[in-house]
Amino acid sequence: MNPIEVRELVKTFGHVKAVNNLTFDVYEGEVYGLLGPNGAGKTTTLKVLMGLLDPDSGTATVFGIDSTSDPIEVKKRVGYVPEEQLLYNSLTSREILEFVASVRGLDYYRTKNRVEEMARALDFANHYDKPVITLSQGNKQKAMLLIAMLHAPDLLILDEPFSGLDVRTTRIMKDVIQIHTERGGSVLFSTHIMEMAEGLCDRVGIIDDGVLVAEGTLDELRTQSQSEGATLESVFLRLTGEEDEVRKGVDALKGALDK
Amino acid sequence: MNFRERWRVAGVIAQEIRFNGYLDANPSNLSRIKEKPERIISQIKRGSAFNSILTGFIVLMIGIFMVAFLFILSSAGNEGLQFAVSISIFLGISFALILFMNLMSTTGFFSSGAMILPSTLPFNKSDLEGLMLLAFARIFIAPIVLIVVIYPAMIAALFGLLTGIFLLAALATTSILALGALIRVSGWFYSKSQSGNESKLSIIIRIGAGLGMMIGIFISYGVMGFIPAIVDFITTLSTIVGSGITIILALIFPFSFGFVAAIITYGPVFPLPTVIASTLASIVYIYLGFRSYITSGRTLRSLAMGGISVSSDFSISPIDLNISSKLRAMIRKDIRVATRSLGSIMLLVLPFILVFAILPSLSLGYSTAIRSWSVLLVVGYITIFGGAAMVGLLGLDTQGASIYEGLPLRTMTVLNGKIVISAVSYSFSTLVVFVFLLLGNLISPYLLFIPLFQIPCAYSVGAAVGGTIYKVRGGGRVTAVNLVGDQLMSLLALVVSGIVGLLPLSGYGVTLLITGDHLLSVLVQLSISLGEAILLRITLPHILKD
Ligand SMILES: Nc1ncnc2c1ncn2[C@@H]1O[C@H](COP(=O)(O)OP(=O)(O)O)[C@@H](O)[C@H]1O
Ligand SMILES: [Mg+2]
Repeated sequence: MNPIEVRELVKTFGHVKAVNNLTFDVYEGEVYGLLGPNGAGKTTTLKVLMGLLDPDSGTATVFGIDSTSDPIEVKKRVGYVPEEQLLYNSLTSREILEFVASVRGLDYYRTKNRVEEMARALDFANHYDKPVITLSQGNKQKAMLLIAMLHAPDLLILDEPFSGLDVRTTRIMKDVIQIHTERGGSVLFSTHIMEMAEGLCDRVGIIDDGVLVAEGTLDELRTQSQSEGATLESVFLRLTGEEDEVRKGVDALKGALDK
Repeated sequence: MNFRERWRVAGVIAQEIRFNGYLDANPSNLSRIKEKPERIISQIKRGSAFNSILTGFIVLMIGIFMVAFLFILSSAGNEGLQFAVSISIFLGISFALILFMNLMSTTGFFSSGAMILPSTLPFNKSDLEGLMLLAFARIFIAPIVLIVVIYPAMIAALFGLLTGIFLLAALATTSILALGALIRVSGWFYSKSQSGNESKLSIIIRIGAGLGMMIGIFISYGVMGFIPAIVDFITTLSTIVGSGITIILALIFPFSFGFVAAIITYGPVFPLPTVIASTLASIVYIYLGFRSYITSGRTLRSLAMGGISVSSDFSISPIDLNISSKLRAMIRKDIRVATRSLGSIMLLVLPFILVFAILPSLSLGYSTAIRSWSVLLVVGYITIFGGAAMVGLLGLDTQGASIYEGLPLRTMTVLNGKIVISAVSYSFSTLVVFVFLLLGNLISPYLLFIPLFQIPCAYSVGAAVGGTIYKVRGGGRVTAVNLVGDQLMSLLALVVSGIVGLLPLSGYGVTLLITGDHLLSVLVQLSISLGEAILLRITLPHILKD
């Protein structure tokens, strides 16, 4: 039983097939990157996994628990950072963490220590008592991370965890992910920025228009697309058949800017 | 730029501000707007029109009431003073209404940064200030025009052109002063509510602001019933204390205007010092209104451009947290969020305000005994608005969607937290009615039980409204709606709370009509309200989904 098992998942919104027959696993102790352009179906997949959306068909399980029939159990085991950061603007991080810890029924001393240590490690202690609205994007993301990891989950599901972050916070974010897996935890994250996946993911799945077009380690993907030593970005463009389109676009742009 | 162009540009800015205010109130719209922009935009337009119409309607009702009152009293003695007081009170109400009704929509003005775009265009500073004020005025234009035009016209028709013209000036001044106050108060509230260091002072300020608003609205709505008493009081006071009291009153806004209006209408009915005092004071207030018009533009610019600097003297305290039970944590969180936003405070205190606004109507026929129908009406009113308060509570979670999504919370638990808060507020309102009846002269002692036996509805109304909205909007899951933005849901909430809340009351009414027996009637009411509560308690878990 793997931490995540997605089988033949289909989810449509009206006429849009957001996720189309998707199947993949996330193994224990690995970082799995779900890569794809905007609108590929990444967020939809993660939301089905969290039990926030009901799939049309197929299944998603987390530690063997079905996301659709028992979302509460799933949420107990997972730390989830959604794509949008809709935190209560007028509350402070302390107040939000109090709420989260109470809802999860966590032990006072262990939680206090955990918050203290994580806040120090994330360089967040100074912002602990500030209302969320005053936080920068990066600090909001740290707050989200604190919230998601408060109960020391085995599995992290992060939706676009790097968007809008500066270099330093990106580094911290990557470290958190790595340390989490070194301790035996697993991570599934989505991103549309290819460089983020390089050097961080054990395996990646590339998704386009709701379909998984390729999966494997970075080396395997390079072999698969017959482009040795290539960056993930060019592998990605080749696999999604967008290489020509991008080149045409760049040529047109050059023409336009020359005038 | 000529005025027409400025007016048009201000309209664009005003639209943007409304838009941001709307998104502010319900951030989940951020994602929805990408899907159906036209629908959201028309919703915003309708929402703000709704607000304006409501304010305008209330002012109009009060205005008509006042005029009718002025007409009736003209036969009694001392009409000069009564006229002055009535006019003054109307001015005061207009001030309070413009200020309080709009406070909730203005905080969006400061967070939106809507003026940033025009500031990058080649306008000079005074153009920009004028634009800003114009945009601000355009947001609130409808009720203000209603107030400033219609009431003086009514007065002019009844009491002479000169009085009408003077009132026009007085009301224009009042509106400008109210807008100026609105700009300052909402800016101040915004900065206070966002500076979240939980010091005693900021809690006091927040609660104070909420209370002030509540009292203001209460006065605005409820004062209609008390006007005769107030006039009586002042008349009596001036006969006891002497005319000195009228001189002091004549110096105070809005009484100065009232006195001058009375003098214009009835001639010099006051002693000379009062006449001079009120005339001078009126001139000063008109001048202040003019000054306020000019400085408001400047204040507005500094507020809207830089955003408001939220106080930053956060003391670094040791990292700690306070863990409690699930339900308590949810209630605490809701109350914290609610007391930090003007709109939410409004919705929470709405039932209280309504109780106080409606109670005077019970006492209208105070000389004769209070009848069942009046009690049914008042309790029915409160019940329906209890449903509106519930929608307000559901709206609080729009901001926190990201936190909820990851939390192992049963939908039922979330709903229960909200039901507890709305039930406390509702029960309190019915208890106020109970106490009021206790003091009153009832046609039958069993009438006392009507508000008490309605208390099971404190649970039923919250449960039914919450359950319906979760089912219809969220497919059974936790979802947040916005009372102003999502009018369909608001209407549905009113219908549902109407059905659930009025069923027991109708049971009472019908039984009374058939049997004429008060005891039997309250028993029927009790069994229906208990039955509903039990039924909802059983069915609710089946409607919801985790
Ligand atoms: N609530 C929704 N209603 C309608 N369409 C949606 C909804 N959510 C997502 N979609 C559509 O589904 C597709 C996949 O979206 P999403 O999963 O958010 O992509 P990604 O996260 O990879 O950018 C997109 O075409 C998007 O427009
Ligand atoms: Mg996404």
